[in-house]
Amino acid sequence: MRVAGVVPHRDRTANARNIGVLFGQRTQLWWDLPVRESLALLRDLYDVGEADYRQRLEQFDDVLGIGELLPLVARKLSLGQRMRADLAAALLHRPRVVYLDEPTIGLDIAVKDRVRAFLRGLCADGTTLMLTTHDLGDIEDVCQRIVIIDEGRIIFDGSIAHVKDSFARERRLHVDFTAPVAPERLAELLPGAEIEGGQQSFTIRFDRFTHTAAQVMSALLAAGEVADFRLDEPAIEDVIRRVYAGDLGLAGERP
Amino acid sequence: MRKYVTLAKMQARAVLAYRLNFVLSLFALMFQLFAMLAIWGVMLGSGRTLEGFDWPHMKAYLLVGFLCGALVSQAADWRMAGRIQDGMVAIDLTKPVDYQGARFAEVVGGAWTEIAMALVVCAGVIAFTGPVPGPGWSGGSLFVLSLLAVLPLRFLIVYLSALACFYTQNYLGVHWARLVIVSLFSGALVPLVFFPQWLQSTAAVLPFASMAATPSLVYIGQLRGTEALVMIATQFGWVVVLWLLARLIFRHAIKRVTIHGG
Amino acid sequence: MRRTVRLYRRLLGAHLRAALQYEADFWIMIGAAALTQVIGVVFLGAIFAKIPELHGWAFWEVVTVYAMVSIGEGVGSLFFEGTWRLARRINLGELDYLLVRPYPVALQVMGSDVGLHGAGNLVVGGVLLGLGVANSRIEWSLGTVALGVLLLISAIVIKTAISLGTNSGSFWIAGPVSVFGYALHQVGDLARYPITIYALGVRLFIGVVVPFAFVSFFPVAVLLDRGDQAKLGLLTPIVAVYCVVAAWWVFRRGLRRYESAGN
Repeated sequence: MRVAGVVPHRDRTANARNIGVLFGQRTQLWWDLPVRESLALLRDLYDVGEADYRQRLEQFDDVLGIGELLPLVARKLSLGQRMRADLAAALLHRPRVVYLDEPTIGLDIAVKDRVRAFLRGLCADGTTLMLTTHDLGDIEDVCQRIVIIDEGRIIFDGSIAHVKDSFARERRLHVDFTAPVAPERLAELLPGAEIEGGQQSFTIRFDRFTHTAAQVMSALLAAGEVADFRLDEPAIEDVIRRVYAGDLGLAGERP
Repeated sequence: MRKYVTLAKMQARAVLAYRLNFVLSLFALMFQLFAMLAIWGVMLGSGRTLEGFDWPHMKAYLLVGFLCGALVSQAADWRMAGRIQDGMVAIDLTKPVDYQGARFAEVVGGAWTEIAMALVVCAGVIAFTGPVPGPGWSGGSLFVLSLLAVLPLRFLIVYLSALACFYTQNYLGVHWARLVIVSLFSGALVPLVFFPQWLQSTAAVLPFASMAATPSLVYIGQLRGTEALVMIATQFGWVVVLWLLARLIFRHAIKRVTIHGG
Repeated sequence: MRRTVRLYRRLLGAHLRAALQYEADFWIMIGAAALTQVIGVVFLGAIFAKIPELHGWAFWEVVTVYAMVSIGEGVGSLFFEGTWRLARRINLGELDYLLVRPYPVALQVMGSDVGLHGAGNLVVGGVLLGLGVANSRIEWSLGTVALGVLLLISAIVIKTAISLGTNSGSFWIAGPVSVFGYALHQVGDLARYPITIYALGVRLFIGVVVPFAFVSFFPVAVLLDRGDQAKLGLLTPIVAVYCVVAAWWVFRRGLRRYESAGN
């Protein structure tokens, strides 16, 4: 197995220069030193040139706002601040491959967005990201390819789009009519869709490759006067949940 | 009173969980003992006597000193200090138990392992190097009396140094300083009679000799009769003085902490 | 090689700064460490006041042996204190980041802390060594001085290597504290005195198995020209090389074990 052309266990040091690592649960900053000093130490360990280093810090400041963190001692950082600093630390030496283990764990939504935007930028620059996470928002926001592992076995390996196309085909439209409508009428207008509910409130579950949302809407408008409606998008979460529940097999077919 | 017995019992059980810690803390003491045994063995081995000590009696002296030194182990020491460092003492203070008394009860509870392990080491030494003389009847009863004073005395010395945690972040330094001062003035490794007069005089006004030298000398019979009783009384006298001193310092420390907000 | 040394200085320097501002009252520690060495010699003084020599070793000669252990400990604490944190780092899984940096893991570990108290050991040890050799029957020449320096460096290397090797035991024996390391460190204290006072088993252990005797006793025996002991003492530099290789090997084996545990 090669990582960026190097066999890891045979040439640890060379491999180390090519990779960056972030363990979300632990920091690699020196606990009792200001962030600036931790980064300086890493700069020296990775032999990053002075000019290059300054440029990196500026970039990190633009995207992660690292400037305000530099004088702070690591043990005094909040979780969000620490994560941003650790990201800078992991990427200081422009690694070609980056391993991230739970990089957004425990972060509030504002910081999460920032981190995900940063990671997207990395991918755009050509860095390979390996992201391990339980937060599916991370995956949806950042990744193109997803590998799902259950009990040590790979049960899926493909693109996000493929996952959604294959397994997350269902959309749900919740509708409230002003007056009661007969379910049979709806079933008539929307063959192949599942109708749930009764009286005035219904949930229409349909395969998005069979019906478009527009088609469903037209049918509903034909059935009665619509007071309100809501459309649910297919979520990776549902897919994962069903995978782990055993509802979806490797081939992705419903039992 | 019942509360203290409970604390003692709890600690007696708890020490089993921290066996490793305790064995480690005994190691330092053990190898100091071995080194001294080797040195004195060479010096007194050929039937020589120095300052009234021949080899069998010196061996007995060192073993009793070791037994005394094993009480209130380093593990217990760090436990007490750690409580204050962590600020857990704040929780302890909310309990309807006297802080000093409670710590003493715990030490008493934990003492059984310390005594057991020390006796095992002593037995090993005797097995390898030959028997030691017994204390005789009168000597024996005096010895037991003297030994009774050692546990509270050792507790107080350790407790007092643990109180330093209220005043400094660096307990390690205080701890080491105490260890070395005690090892010098308690006479456990080198009997005080071998030191120059000024050092002996200094030791006489300090409580440390009462922690090891007195019981050891009583055991080997160098302290007898009234002289022994006077020294034993001195031991208990120190227990009282230090107990009260510790209470004073504790009160001061707590006041200081609540004023400065810990 | 120069890069390795330069970076080690950087790592140590960073921890020194942290230690200085964090360790309140570190003077107490330095003082206590210094006092411990001094009291040890006070004991020796009291003993030697009654007898002229111990197995043919005079007071100042024994002090020289004693001082070597102090110096070894002092250097270890000042420059390689991180070794003693290894157990804790393994316990907390903190080695993971070290494994992905382009610098030897062992050096990262060893340089990860500064034990300021080592200054106490080192200063007193140095003074004692100076007094010891000044008052001992040593034939001084340029060659002896050079030999002495070589032996001193070898002794320090051996002590450091033993620390690394024994602390590496934490890769196999889990726990927040290095049991193996601390226990053997205490055994090493036996080498503060001429080892001829001990039984054969002990002498073999601290002479061959864990060569503490080559940190103090044998190097000094060379300078004092003590026959067979001096001859063995000349092996000290070789023992140093052996210890470094052995310690490095143990550490690497342990590291591989750590990695394969799926960290």
